Amino acid sequence: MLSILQLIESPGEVKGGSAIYCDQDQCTDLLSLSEKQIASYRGNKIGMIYQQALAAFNPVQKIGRQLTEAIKTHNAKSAENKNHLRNLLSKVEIKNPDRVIDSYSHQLSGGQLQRCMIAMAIINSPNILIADEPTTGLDVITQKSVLQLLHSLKSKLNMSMIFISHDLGVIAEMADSVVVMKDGVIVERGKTLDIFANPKSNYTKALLLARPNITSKSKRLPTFDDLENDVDINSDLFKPIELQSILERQKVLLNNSNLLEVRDLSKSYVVEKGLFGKPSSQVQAVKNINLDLKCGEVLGIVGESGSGKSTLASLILNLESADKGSVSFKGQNIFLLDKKEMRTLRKDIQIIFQDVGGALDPKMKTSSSIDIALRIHYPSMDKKQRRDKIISLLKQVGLTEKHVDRYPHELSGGERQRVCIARAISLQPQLLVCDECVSALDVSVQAQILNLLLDLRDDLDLSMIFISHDLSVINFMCDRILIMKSGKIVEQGYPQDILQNPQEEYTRKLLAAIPSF
Amino acid sequence: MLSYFVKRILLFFPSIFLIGAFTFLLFNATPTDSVASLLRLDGFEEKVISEKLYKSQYKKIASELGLDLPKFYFAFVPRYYPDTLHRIIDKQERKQIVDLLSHHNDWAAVSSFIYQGEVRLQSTETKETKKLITDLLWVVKPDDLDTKLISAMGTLTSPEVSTFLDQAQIVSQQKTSWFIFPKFLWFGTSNQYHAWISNFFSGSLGRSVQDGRPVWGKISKALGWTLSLVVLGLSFTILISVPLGIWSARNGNSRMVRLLSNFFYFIYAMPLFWFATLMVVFFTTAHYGNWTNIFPGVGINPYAGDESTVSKILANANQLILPVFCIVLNSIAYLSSIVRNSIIAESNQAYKTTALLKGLTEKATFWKHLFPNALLPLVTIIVGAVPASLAGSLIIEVIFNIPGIGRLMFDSIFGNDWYVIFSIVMLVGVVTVISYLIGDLLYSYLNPRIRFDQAKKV
Repeated sequence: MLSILQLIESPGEVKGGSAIYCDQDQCTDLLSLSEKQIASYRGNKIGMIYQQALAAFNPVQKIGRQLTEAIKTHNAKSAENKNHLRNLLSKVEIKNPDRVIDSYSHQLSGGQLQRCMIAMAIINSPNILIADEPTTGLDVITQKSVLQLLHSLKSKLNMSMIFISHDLGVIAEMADSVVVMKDGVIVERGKTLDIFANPKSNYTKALLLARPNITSKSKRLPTFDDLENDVDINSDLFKPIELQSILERQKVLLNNSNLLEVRDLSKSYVVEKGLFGKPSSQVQAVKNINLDLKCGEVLGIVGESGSGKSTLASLILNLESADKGSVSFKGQNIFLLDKKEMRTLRKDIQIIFQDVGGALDPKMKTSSSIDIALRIHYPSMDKKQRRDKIISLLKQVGLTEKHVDRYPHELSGGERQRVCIARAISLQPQLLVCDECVSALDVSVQAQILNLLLDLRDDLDLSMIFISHDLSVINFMCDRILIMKSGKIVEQGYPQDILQNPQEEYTRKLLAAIPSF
Repeated sequence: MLSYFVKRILLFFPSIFLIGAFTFLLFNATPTDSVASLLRLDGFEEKVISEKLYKSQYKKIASELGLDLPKFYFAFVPRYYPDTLHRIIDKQERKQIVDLLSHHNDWAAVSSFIYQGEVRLQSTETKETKKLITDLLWVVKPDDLDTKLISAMGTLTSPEVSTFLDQAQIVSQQKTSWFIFPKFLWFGTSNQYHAWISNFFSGSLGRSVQDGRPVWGKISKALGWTLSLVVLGLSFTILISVPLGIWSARNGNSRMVRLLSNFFYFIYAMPLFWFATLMVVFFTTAHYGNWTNIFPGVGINPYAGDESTVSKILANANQLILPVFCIVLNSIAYLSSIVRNSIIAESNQAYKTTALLKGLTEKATFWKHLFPNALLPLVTIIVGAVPASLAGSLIIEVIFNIPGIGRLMFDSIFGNDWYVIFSIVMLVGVVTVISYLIGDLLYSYLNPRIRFDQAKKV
């Protein structure tokens, strides 16, 4: 999409083709315009918004000034008019426009910034708005309100919109017609309703099927490869599991012993220090959390960003020290262990992260990333044994021998996450903590990883804490769910109960916000 | 924000206090006797005038300098020490008393021994007895006092001396007090450090032992020269480096950019003293042919004429061209590469795309968004460069013979002129602390991410 507006950075370049923009009866090829000419289209006739609104604003200029600049650029004579800005900001449903005008980007929340970015894009009433994953990175509730806003602005300003997303639910809610792309090529196009009801290409089918369902759960999720290899997607494997067998499994788990017990766990961060270093304001990230994890159980933790999910994970791994409370692993309080005992315990609790790029050392091959963990915890293994073990681990997570000597940048996102999983299971842990481990992956890769994790759960008798903001993923993975909000558990129970019949207002709000098709 | 400002400013005072204390400690550790040097300057040579006159003059100067005050606001001393030991100016005398005290842990006995001795010295006539008593009092090691006393008893027989001898007998015996917990003495503000640092801030830094002129006068004259070097050097460096950095950031891979930046790194890598010497040899002499002899020979006479420093600097402006040239050429590589990297880092930020999407041209995006943001880190660097080049001007000033701070420092070190040296050390310290204070405050003012706390969401 950037290429339409001539914003491709070198070494990329537009090889050919044209992008025709028609205004009433005048048509121009945008790609043939000079820099000055295309600049007069950008922000004036074609507006664009994208994800990560925090980075999109100049950090050292006030929001108001940056908004005014968008007006002045195309309309040099228009005076700086605060009223105009105020109207605009209330149009994008910002509650206190005056304060936002006078703020810097780091003082606003993600949702507010996304609204400001939308305001900046529509400030000159463009005919086209390009929205590139505008809600990725926002939590479901904010996402819903931003989508609603875009929808109403579209009709109010009579704009056309190009909406780019990997999330089919979002597309279904927003789009009139859809274009499905894979590897730079359009694989299918048509009216939204047609595509969703009757997909033609395997890729589109995979995208639609690979998304776990919120109302029922199956044993496996069909993937693109399954469709390509003519696997029968109507087999029992992909069908919803009977409630009876779900209840049976939950009953079995209930009788298992506790692997992890968390009691009264609290943690706060100092946000601001007073004149003499005394904390003057704190954020309570985790507040009096109690939870039990049975052996073999998968416990889901759901919550929007900032609800304390990740802090809870790092407390359970003893990566951070708690203010209060205890975490007992197999009856042993891990906060009371000394460094050496903790190091042996690390073997039993492993974590995989969301940021697959950051979790691997960019200068280490796949083999050395895993090797290092093996060397620390199994000093008796020799080089050959370790290499064999690494290869068998990689095979276990669906990679092949050729991935052994690759660097992270030579792997795709899904492959990297598989390497992270291989590293985590290399130590034969009993507990695997998955912190938003599929959030950054696209739907069909996400399905592969989720399938893999369930296989591993059964093969290795793993217990898991599965942290996610995505309720449908949680439903597919978990035996039990905790809903967290601002550091506290607001609701907990079995997925079939919570998702069908939520008790708390907040859970209901979360469920309502999920875009669906 | 306000709390940050107040905190930062409050931190200023303890840092100055500590820098001062450390400088003062070094100052006191230097082995020279500045009182003797000052006396020599006034024409009082130890050998020429009578010992009595010399001593009284010494005492007078020493108390003028405040040397009879305690060193610091407080002290921890052994319990048997007197509270007023600092009043003894003569280092040797003080050492003898301390030795006596550690031999015989009783100040009453030691002080009465010394008092009796001094009384005898005032009244006895014969040279021989005088010598004996002086020996016993100030020369003999306390451990040998008893043996020396026995031999002295034979000579000193007059009844007047007997009280002194009795006292000496007592002191000669070892007496150890078992209570070793030291005692804490509080002197208040009448101490040498307090006087020294308050004199420093009121501009009376004492006299130079080389020519007797006030230290502040010497420093302020030298400061004019150095400041003109620093200001000229820094401004030209900025004027050249910033455009160069911008240019090389925007044409990253052109051959010209690489050539030029390699050239400047080549000069940056050369030691400054070597580069400066080359410049002097090449451009101020006819050694390599007349065409290279562009600049006048180095050397400025700081003492010639009575006109003010400013007019002297103006008159000798052509002498500053070559040194400024050296400074600038030497630092271009560093500063321009910082500007370049900073601009490149900013152009990878997403807000650049936003600005372009608004419809700003590449040029407007650069000048309105990227460039001002890229200059932010320069604030800290430039503010830090001022004290650094003040201290680092020594090489340039020595090679080009410019009477600035560095040159003054250099000369004072060779002349044992400690008052000047430590005044400069302290001055550079204070300038450093102030510059960093200004830098931090300015940076936090310019950068709202520091100015406001992240937690305060609107």
